[in-house]
Amino acid sequence: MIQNLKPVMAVSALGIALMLSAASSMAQPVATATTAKAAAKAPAIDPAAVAAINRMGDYLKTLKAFSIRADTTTDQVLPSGPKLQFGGTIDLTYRDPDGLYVVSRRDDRDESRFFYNGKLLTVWVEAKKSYAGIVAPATVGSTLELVSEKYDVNFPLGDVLLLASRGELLRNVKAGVVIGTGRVGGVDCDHLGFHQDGMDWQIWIEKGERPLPRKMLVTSLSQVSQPQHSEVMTWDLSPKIDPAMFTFVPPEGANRIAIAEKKAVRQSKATTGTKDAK
Amino acid sequence: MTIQPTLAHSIRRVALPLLGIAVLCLAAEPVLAANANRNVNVNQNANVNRNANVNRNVNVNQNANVNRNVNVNQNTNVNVNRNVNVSGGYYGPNYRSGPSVAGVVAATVITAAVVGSVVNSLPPSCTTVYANGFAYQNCGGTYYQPQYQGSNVTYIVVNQP
Repeated sequence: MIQNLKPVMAVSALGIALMLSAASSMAQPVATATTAKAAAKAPAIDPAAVAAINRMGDYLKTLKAFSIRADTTTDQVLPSGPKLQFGGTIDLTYRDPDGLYVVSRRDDRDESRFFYNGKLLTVWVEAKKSYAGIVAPATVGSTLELVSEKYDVNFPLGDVLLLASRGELLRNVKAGVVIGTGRVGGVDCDHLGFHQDGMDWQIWIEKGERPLPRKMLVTSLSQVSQPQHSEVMTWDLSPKIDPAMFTFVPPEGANRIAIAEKKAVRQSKATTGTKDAK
Repeated sequence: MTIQPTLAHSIRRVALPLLGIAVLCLAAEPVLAANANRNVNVNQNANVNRNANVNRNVNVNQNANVNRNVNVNQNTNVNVNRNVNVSGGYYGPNYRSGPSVAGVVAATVITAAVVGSVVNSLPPSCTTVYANGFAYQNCGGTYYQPQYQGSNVTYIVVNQP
């Protein structure tokens, strides 16, 4: 599991963070009090990394509107072992605090469009002529909180949106470091690495006056083959906004369908997934 | 193919008159084109060799395409089973649900339409029925409720609405 992350091992602090992650994930089957204590002693989160995240969050919260074009990759591991990768794009338009329109296309899936206007959150799958909706809270942030707690829905760029509306990203983090300068799309960025239960994640934040997240990379540690999900983002801070774009109007012949709730996940994982609710 | 130039030279004298026959065979029986062309290749001049190569490439490509299609179908089937549980979601660091990254769940293949089970696609010949403001699918007496799950539409088996 370490070889995937070798490039960043050069930084000793992250090395520790990664060893932490390796220790925690490998030791789980034979977890003992001593290993837990050893992990607890390891240096936690580099204050510089926290500061960089907070600076980004503070900046995002000042934005009244933005649009993002994200190019994504998503690994998927077949039961037989092979790891596949699928590409995709996300086009997102955000208006603080209650306007959101997202078009999500993954290479192997039907296009999904999300609409949020401060009252209703709707997702429309044109290929299936189907839409699902919920009555939503008054802001993007509270709506995403609701979705992540209650519904079995993967919201495109949900973390970035929560950052923009709440400025939160570190609540589950156990270790974090500043790796150094990395370039994304030709722009110099601060490259940070974090570890939390079950995942390592990295973020590249634009240097200078616009501390925008330019890339996120999530590595799952709960599978041997460590599938990853990446998002490379291009930002527009003065997007064209037509308020009508945030409201979904069902076309003629559209069918209303349900939206899956978390409890509907009946498989064994469901019991594991609820541990966060303790 | 691996015949040395000297041998090819010597055979060329003898085999030149056979060219026409070989080409005729090629045209008449496409299935055997590869074999016929190979014989021609060895013996004949540069022009004939080029043609033969083109034909061979075509054959190879066709085979490759067939194989690829088979593979794609296999993957699709596997995905159908996986998606039952995976529901395609990478949940990021901020999600309260925690790191339930795609593919984490061990796949369980749904073999019967048990109420509560979820599938990624419907059996053939379904009709849409409406109840409670929602659309359902009646597939031979088994009712499915379409739902948005993960980043897809999936179908959960329900009692008759």
